[in-house]
Parts: sequence; C-alpha cells; structure tokens
Amino acid sequence: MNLRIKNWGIQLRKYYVVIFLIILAGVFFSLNSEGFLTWKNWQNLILQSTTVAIAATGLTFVMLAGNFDLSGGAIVAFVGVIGADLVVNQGIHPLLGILVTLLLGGGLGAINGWLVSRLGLASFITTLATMTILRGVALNYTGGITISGLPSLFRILGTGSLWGVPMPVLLTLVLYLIGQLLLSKTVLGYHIYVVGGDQKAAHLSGIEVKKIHLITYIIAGVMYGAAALVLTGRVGVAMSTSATGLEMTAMSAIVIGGCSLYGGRGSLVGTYLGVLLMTLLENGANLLNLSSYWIQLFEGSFILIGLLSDKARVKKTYPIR
Amino acid sequence: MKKSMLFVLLIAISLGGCFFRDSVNEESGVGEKKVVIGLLASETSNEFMLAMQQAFLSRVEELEIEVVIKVSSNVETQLNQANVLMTQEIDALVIWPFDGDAVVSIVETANEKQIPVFTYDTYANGGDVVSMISTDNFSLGSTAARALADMVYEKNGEYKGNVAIVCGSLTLTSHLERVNGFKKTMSEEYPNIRIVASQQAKSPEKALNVAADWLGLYGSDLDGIYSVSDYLTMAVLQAIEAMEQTEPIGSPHHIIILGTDAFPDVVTSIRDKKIDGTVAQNATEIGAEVVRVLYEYLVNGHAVEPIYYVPCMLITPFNINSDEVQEYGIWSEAYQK
Repeated sequence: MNLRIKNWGIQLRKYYVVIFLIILAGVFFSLNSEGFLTWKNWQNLILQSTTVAIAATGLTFVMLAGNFDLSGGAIVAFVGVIGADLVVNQGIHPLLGILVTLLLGGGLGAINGWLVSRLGLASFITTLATMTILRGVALNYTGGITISGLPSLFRILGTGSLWGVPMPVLLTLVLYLIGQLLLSKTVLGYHIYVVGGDQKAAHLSGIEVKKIHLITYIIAGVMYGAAALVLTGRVGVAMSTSATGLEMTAMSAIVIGGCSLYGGRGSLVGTYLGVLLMTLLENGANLLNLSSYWIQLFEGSFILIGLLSDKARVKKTYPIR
Repeated sequence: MKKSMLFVLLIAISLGGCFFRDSVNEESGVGEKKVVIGLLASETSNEFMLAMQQAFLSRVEELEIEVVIKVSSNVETQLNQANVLMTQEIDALVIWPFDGDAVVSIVETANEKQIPVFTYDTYANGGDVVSMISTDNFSLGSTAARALADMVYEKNGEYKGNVAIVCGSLTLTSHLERVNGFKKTMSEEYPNIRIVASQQAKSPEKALNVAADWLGLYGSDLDGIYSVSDYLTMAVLQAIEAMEQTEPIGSPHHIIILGTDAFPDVVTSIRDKKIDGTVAQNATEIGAEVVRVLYEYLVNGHAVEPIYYVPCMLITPFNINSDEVQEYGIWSEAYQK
C-alpha cells in the first residue's frame, strides 16, 4: 500500500514541470475570471482539447521512437477533405466514409514511415515534404471549396454522445487507453522505447528498428484520421486549410509533457497533460479577452521551459555526457 | 535503395505535372499584340476568393486580354512572385494584397518599372496605385454594427446588450478594417451595447472554440456575435448548437449571429432562419469591376478613379427574397463550383 503511494509520488515527479505550469495557469485564470472554474467551462475545455489530444497521442509514438512528424496537420486536413467529399459528393455510406478516413490516415502514415525507415531519409525534412505535398494536393482537390452538408452519422465522432459523455472525449479516452496498453504492456511498446533510447543497441539486440519506425508512423496516421473525424464532425465542414499548425501545437504539448526530443523517454500521460496546458491557455485567453499574441508568447516560453527541464533531466541521467 | 529513390522521384514529378497544369493561362495569341496583365492572387482557399477570381477571369477572357496568374498563400511568396512577374512583359499588374503595408514594396518596384498597378479587395498603404476596387471594409464594419444594434433592439426592446466579435485574422487588412469600423460605430452610436469580447480566429475550429468559451462564460447574457468573415460564421452557429443554446429568431434567449461576405452555407442558413443575417459583399461584381477599370485604362486610354467601392448589402431572412436583394445579386448562388 505504502509502496503504491510512493510509486504514485515517483510517477507525479516525472511531470512536475507540466503540473506546476497547469496549476500556475489555472490559479491565474481562476483569480481573474469567475467563469474559469465552472463545470461548463471545463466541459468546453476538455472537448476543445480532443483534436490535439488524439493527434498528439499518435505523434507521441513517433517521437518516442526517436523521429519527428510534421505532416500531422496536413494529414488531418487531407483525409478530412477526402472522407467528407466521398460521403457528401460521391454518396458513399457515412460509416464507410469514417473507415476510409481512418485507413487513408494509416496509409499516409505508412508512406511517411516507408520514406523514413526504408529509405533512411531524415524524418524532419521528409515529413516537411509530405506535409507540403498533402496540403497542395488537398487544396487542388477541393479547389478552395469548403465541403459542408455532412450527414450527422459522419459527424458522430465530433457531435454525438454516449451515456452523456461527448463522443470526442470518449474517443480520446479509448485511444489513450489503447495507446497506454500498447506502450506499457506489449513487446511492441517496449521495443519502441528501446529503439528511441538507442537505435544501435536496439539493432544489435535483434529488434527490427525499421519495422518499429514504420509501425509508429502507421499508428500516428490512424490517429490523425481519428482526429480528422473529430475535427470535421465538430466544425461541420471540411476544408483543405483546416488543422493548420496542429502538428506544432501537438509537438509543443508533447515536449512540455516531458517527452524527449531524442526519443526513448516520455509517456501518454505527459502528452495529455501538455495538451491540457495548451488548451487551458487558449481557453483562458478567450475568457479574459486577452490578445492571442500574448498566448503565443506564453506557449513559446512554456515550450522552452519544457526543453530546459528535459535537458536538466538528461544531464542527471547521463552526467558524463 | 537507389532504384526506389528514383521511383519516388518519378512519382513526384508526374504528380507535379498533373497539379500545376491549370495554374498558368497558356493562350498565347500570335499575330496582333494582346494586352498582357499579371495577376497576383491569393490561393483560392475559400469560395469568396474563388467567385471573385472566376468573375475576373471570365471577363478577361471575353475581352481577349491575356493573364499570367501567380497564386500565393502568404506575404513572402507574393513578394517573390511579384518579382518573377515583373521580369516578364506585362502591361499592368493586378494585386490582391495580403497586407496593405507589405504590398507597398511590390507597388514601388512596379512604379520604378512603369508598370501600372491595380489592387482589389484591399488597398496598398503606399506607392502609386492607378485604381483600387473593393468593398469599403471600414464602412462594412459600420453597417454590421448598425445591423447588429437593430437586431439587439428587436430582441431586447432597447439599444442595450452585450455582443462579441470573432475577428478573423487581423493580419488581413480587410478584416482589421471591418473590426475597426464595427467597434467605432458601435461605441459612438450605441454606447449601451457593450462589446464584451473580441478574439482572433484564423480557422473555423478556433471560431467554434472561442464562441463556445464565450457562451460558457456569458450564457444567455450574450445577445449577439458578429463574425468578420463567413468562413467562420458557420462555426459560430455550430458552437451555439453544441452548447444547446439554440433558440429561434425572436425568442428572448436567441443569440444573434451576424456574418460577412454571404458564403453559400450562410445564405442557406439565413433562408432556414438559423442565422440572423450577413453583410454581403459582391464577389463577382468586384472581380468584374476590376476588369472594367483595367479595360478603360489600358485599352480605351481613359482616366480612371483612384478608388471604386463596390457596395455591400445586409441580407437577412426577411429580405432575402426581396427584389432589392435579387437585384444586388447573391454571388454564392451565381458562381460555379
């Protein structure tokens, strides 16, 4: 019993930076706006965090394995546009549309993974390239038209609810649990950490490094598909320009949540706390009517704090480096 | 390894071939000398831009003027493309400026090369521009403020209440002007209508979140929301629906939504009485007017005015079928997808 409590303490200590920042922001906002600590506002806040949270869950896998993925926002926009177009203009069944959106996300993730793992291209630049390509293709595909009139079944992951819980929240929770199980209870999860920690050592101990990289990108792709469904569902339209900058928000959240930029260290709990912090800032700004320039400044500083604490931790763990 | 690299390269090139084809108008007339104009347009990332460019291009085609189009998505690429355009032989330069200040350097370069410059939708804050064709965005903001004030009056029985503004992107001069016009008119003419919040929203998702946060905070104390562009207006409607605060127009807890531009979805929602109104700009008229002014100046050699304002008009569920609105024209029901 005592051991378990102690264990929790250790768990919490891993996230002290992000928890500290959340509390700091929370106290500031609740002192300055009476609307902040209300049930309604927190419902809003959690709901608003879902798109980023789902995308960040996927991206965490990629980053744990030691890679980057800048194409998240572009994939979300691209598959959202294709899925919506198939349902609205080509008349396929909404449920099939949902399936296609998820699979297409996975497929695009696989292309990223293939380029990075099989061709050995640098992940940062490769996904920058796929991001640019996908945005361009999406723009050409729609010709700038907003796709609207989505049937409610296609929007179910964004607007539906089950047992009084909004679908996006439920989906985020389910995906989080699946992700957590994968990472902490399976060989795959163990391998992802090992590959991210030290690729050479992983290779020497017989882990198929390339395969692990590929799998993490596919997981991320499917998650982007899910994020696209939540986003288009909530907003009710699909646009080639949607989710611009999503990858950056997600990456910032992940870094603030204690995930190492070099891979091998981090967790989904940290990621979600990071996402919560980012959403909290936006929400607080809306309530206090702060200029969004201020929020950018805070977000930037928080990323720096996250990076610094990561660096401090690396020094502590490997003092010789 | 090398083979697969080659494969990727091949795919990339062939894909590129498919997508870039339509970006340049290739009709090069042999024989008589045609008028050639360079067009610096924005990416057609929304219907308004699309309708405006469509009207422009179809008029240009009728008059057999040749156009070289360069499309960009931000200030920097626009600047680069301007330089590329000006190395070619063009008789005039038509610009859709992202930013009134940033475009000045383009205008000045064109002035040096003695290429006449026209802008549409937004003005340049410097340099010599022959003519600017646009909606008067500041007065559009004023029109919106008066319209929203009247709607608040309908609802509350007095010019008193709380409203909020979804500001769009304040780096776009057109959005900034509308916000300024709205704020000025509202505070000067209706001192009892408070603007309780105004936030930027560059995407519908952001507009949805902002509006939901306001509704959570103010509840039904919020009387209305003005959206500075209609690509955000639908998201405001979604927020009200998601927060379960939908009340029919005329009910005491109804939250007024007023948009700008008259996008297709918004026009449909106005017909369905879900949105209270939109201050329409005439996208097709702006596009056609640019060509008319160009033709007057370049071909007929007449003097033209420095500014042409294309009027805007308030469209509500109550006047949408009126002769007045039909005469003004609803661009979103006229352009081709």
